[in-house]
Amino acid sequence: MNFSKTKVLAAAVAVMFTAAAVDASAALSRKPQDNLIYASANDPLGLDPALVDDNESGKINCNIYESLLRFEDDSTNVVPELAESYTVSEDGLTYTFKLRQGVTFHDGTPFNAEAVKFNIVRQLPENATAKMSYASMVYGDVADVNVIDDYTIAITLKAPSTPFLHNIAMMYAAPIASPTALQNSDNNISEHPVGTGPYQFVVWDKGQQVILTRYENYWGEPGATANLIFRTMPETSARVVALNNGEIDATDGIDANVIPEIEQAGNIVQSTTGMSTQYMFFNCDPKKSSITKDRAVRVAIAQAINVPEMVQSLYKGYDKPATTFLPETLPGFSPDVKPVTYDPEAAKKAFAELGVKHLTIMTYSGARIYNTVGGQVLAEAVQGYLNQAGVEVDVVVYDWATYKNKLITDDFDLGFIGWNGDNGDPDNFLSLMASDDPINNQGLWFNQEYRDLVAQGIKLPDGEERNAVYAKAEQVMADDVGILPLSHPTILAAVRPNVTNFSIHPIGLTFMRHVGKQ
Amino acid sequence: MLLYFIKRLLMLIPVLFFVSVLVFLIMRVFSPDPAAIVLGQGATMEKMEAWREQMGLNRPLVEQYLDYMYNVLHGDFGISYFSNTPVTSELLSRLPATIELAVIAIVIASIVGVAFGIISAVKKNSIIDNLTMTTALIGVSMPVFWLGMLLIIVFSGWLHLVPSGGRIDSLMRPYDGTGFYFYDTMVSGDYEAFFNALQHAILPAVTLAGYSMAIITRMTRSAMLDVLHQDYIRTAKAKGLSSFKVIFKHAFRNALLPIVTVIGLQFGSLLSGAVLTETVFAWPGIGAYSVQCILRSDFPVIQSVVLIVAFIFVMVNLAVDLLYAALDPRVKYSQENA
Repeated sequence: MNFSKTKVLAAAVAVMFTAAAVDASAALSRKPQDNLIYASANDPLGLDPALVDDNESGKINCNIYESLLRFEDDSTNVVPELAESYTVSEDGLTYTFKLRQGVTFHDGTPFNAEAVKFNIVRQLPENATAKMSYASMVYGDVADVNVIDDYTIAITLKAPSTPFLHNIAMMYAAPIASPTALQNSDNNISEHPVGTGPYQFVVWDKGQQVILTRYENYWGEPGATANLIFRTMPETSARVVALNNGEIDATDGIDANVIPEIEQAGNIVQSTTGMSTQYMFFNCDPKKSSITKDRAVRVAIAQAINVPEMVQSLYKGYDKPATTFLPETLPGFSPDVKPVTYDPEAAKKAFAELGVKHLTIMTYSGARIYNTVGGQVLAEAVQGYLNQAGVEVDVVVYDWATYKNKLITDDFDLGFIGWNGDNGDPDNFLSLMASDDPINNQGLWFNQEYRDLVAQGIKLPDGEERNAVYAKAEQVMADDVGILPLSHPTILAAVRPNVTNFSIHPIGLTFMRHVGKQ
Repeated sequence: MLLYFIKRLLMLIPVLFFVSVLVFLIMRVFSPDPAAIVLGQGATMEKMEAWREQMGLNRPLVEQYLDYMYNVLHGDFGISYFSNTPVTSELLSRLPATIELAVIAIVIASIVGVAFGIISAVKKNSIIDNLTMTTALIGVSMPVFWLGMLLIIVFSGWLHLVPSGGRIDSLMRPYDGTGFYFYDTMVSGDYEAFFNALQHAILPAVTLAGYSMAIITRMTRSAMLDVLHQDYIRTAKAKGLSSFKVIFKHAFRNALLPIVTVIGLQFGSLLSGAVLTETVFAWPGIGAYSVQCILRSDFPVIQSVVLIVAFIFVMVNLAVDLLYAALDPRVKYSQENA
């Protein structure tokens, strides 16, 4: 091949790629004050809210998309967003939403009742794909969707469901995407998201960054910063160096060990009480041979572990020791629930009487969002307490994917997991332990009284009566030691001192509309 | 030569077939079921079963394999279980980053490694030789992860000379182009962005080059020592040729074959993705992504990555073999000896 042919080929390749490249971004400002760079450990899984369930995707999507309702800025109380108002029929089955007018999607198409219906119908059980993992939670009870006029829509449920309003404020399944974009992208806008939010999508460099720019036709107060850049930086220490150097403006996913370094550099650490619970579960599966099916054994194990001391030691005071499954920020939480408390002598005596000499803990290797020290470290801490009570403990460790499968197939006595609240409704937590599904109720603990209370609670309207039912359910679970709640994690983030109005919502998302730089 | 080239290309078929069968079986037999991880917190046994059914994972293995290969042969590598996007798009968006880093790293490793190797051979058993060989030993033994973090802390955290990670400042990203940032920024005349990309590449490239540099240094030294003891070198020296001519014209050229071989092998492995380097420096290449996919049992991605890496390896080896003919006139890829 001679030189001229090579040049022609190179030019052809360049033209081919250029034609496919994003055009809208050419004019993005390079001025630092116009760009806010927020680094996280992982790339988002995707940018179609119907198809993802991870926080990294949610953090970006919550700036692109909006739902009919939204959570208040610092709580999970719901308030209207794309809906201006709503009414609930007396039988609790029909929700009628008056929609906001003058709203457009980022592709210029209008937001209206048909668009809402399109998004719901897409995720109804008969249409949802298996990957739409939140579709059944949000829309599984929908019996009918009726467009009354351009800006009024009625959603009828099969049965009363108090969590419904919380569900449609979530950032999974509930956000309203452009029907035109969905139709043009084969029902999958993971790489080309189009919503109605304050920021619109520019480009996603896989493994590197997602860039959003302010949507100039946004119906509400416009975004404070011109461009948002969500960068992926897997290593915590690299993110800390980047923050301290001023290469990035904000980061999350940090642990207590790096806080002094961040603060010494003049940056600001923010902590938010998260809406999640880490717990230890006991294998109660009747088909398996574990001795933890016996309540007396579970009580002895709970007595052997000093949960507050362990949590303080492992998480350096940032995570709170748990006494209940529900985090204290959720309705239904009761400080009056009395769990089995640390009593090493009683534990030792009980183990001797019950003949318990050996237990097996199965755990995961790496860190999780609710356990920054990792599953193995946590298991070894529990192992230490049980050893002191005279019980030998084997710790079996697997990577996360294998662990999730082994929980279903293998014999074990104790395991660890956590639950990140989705919607701020107590049923979102407590219904897990009323399930027969080992993916949700990992130990398959069964208590009929508990299940009856949870079934009662989902139908009751928000209020004192409902809260009392859930408090009672928690006490039943504590008395029977269905699980052993361990900690309520704190979400830690850090920002440069010139970043204003940055905060992490208790559900773990970052709404960036008001976040600016001085 | 052409016939040899065609024969070598045809040999790709059994190699890729064997690799595809092997990786398919390994993923299906030894990897954990991805359903619980794919469906995340919203998973239930029922949803997991529906997902497996939809993905065809409940079908017989042979049927799954044939289906997969049929699609691959038609250019369809499948859809990632996690991102719901075509595997081809996922890999194409990451390959330029990996190729750029590998090219810079192999250039650094080759220049420095060959230079050190020659000096070391010529000054055998001197202080320079001992220093070079000790450095090479450290280069081979030093954990990449540790070296990377060390470089970040010193050159980015303390001295503020280079950025801590990424390919380019977000604001400088070239929007129109091929994904090869050096090429794109040069073509567009955005030299500020070009030098920014260069600054970003320095630490990961040096980290990545460390191991290859050490291997190339040792191989160069060893090959040069073999040649330097040959009679014709003694003759050349006796004829009064300058040291430069003896070393570079007579010795180095004859020592090149094993050096080129090792450079080729190193380049092949660098192209297959530098997992740790990419992770430490947030370099959005194919290596770190592959590991994530292995941990999540994202079968379609892993199968495709392994096939592509095998293809790259074979092609790099073929290029090295073809280079032999240019370097050594005795090597001919004629019809007879092909």
